[in-house]
Amino acid sequence: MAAPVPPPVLAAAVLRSRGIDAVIIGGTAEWLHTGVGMPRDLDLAPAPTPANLAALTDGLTALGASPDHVPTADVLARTDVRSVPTAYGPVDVLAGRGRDEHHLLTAQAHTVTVLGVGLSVASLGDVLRLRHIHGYRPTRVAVR
Amino acid sequence: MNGPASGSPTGLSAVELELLDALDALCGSPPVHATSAALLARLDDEAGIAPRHAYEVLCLAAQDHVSHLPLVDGHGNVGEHPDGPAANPRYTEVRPSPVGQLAHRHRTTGGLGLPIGLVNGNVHLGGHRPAFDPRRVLATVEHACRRPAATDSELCDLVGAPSFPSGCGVGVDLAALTAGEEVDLECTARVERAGDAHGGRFVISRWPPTSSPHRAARAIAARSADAARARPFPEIDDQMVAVRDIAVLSSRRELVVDLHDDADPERELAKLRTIHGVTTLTRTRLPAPLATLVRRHASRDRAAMLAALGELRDELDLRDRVATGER
Repeated sequence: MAAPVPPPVLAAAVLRSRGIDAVIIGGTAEWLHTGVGMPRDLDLAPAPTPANLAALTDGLTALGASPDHVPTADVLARTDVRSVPTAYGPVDVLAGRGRDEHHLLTAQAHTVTVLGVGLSVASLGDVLRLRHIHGYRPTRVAVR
Repeated sequence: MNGPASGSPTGLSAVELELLDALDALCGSPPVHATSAALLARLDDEAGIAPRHAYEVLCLAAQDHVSHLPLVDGHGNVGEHPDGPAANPRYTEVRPSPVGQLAHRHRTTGGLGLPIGLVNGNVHLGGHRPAFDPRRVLATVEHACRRPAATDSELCDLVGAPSFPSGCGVGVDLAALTAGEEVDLECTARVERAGDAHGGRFVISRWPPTSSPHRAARAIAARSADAARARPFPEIDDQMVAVRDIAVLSSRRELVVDLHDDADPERELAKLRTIHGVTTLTRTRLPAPLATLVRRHASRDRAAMLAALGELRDELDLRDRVATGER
């Protein structure tokens, strides 16, 4: 039996297992590349097709998000960013980023297999570029 | 330069200070309870603070499981942070708590900033400042008053690690936090094995400041193996918790989790601890190095500050005696 994985990584695996097409960016992508730190939330740039956004809406519900917080596919198609609290921690859906450059991110992405699922993880170059754009800051390791 | 912990000498927010002013004006001395609706109307008229916003801050200021030093004494259902809604303000009553009275009196008469904001922090309000143990903070400010030459590390050691009223576990890069750097704070609820139920039973208590038993119960249910049964990925299913039943004991702020008979309790315990709500990760940052914040409290009228700290400590002693007597 595998050791428990960080909740944002598990959330990404659950979403991918449901067929959702999204590139992981932010701290979770950094963790999947380096194994350093502890990801606090999951940042996703989803493919902007209506079917994928609808699947993402269902996936967020499966992650334990309250119906009040889950945006519809129609809203995701128009919005830039939605932060959704889930049982796995916050999931930030960067829908605008997905519309603008999901295909570009995918072209540079790495596939990392976690729990039998292939996760699409933005390249470190893209992770750092988007960190600069969105003001992400690296997670500091908590020390007991 | 700003005040010790935020924009005021007490480290309290502007809204909290307006609350104290309005409570003082409305409740008199010695203070009697007034309806929250009357207070909110006054805040709206006098300070332009919208009632919904003011009521949220007012209710949080009355909850002793949120703040070490509650500023408000509330009657009625003032809510249960983070997910228990308060009653309509027509049906709740408030007055300044003894700590709130002290903070207001010393600020308005002597310009003294008691270190209440430093003790309470504001993580529960969505801020970045963690809470610290009240007695340790008072002792440290007193030490800084008596020994102005005390070193930074001496003051930081005396304050110690962040500490929340629930008594949740805390993990943080303390050296970086006290230096004023931005760091992640990991807060973990207490998870204890209990009873002789088949498979195992866990009692979860001492919640992180942004969590609650109800919130964690929803997260655990969503992370249960039953919820994930339809998924054809065994390695993902293996990450889910083998929960048979969940019960919230609201009055004790505890959560009881029963596992399936064939579950491995040690392994399930490790998984439970990763669930958001049982453990939280929060970005924290102090507005200045901790020793600097402590010294700002000690840099004014030292004799008056020592007397004020004594009053605050007496209030803590009284509160502890009442709590012990009630048990």
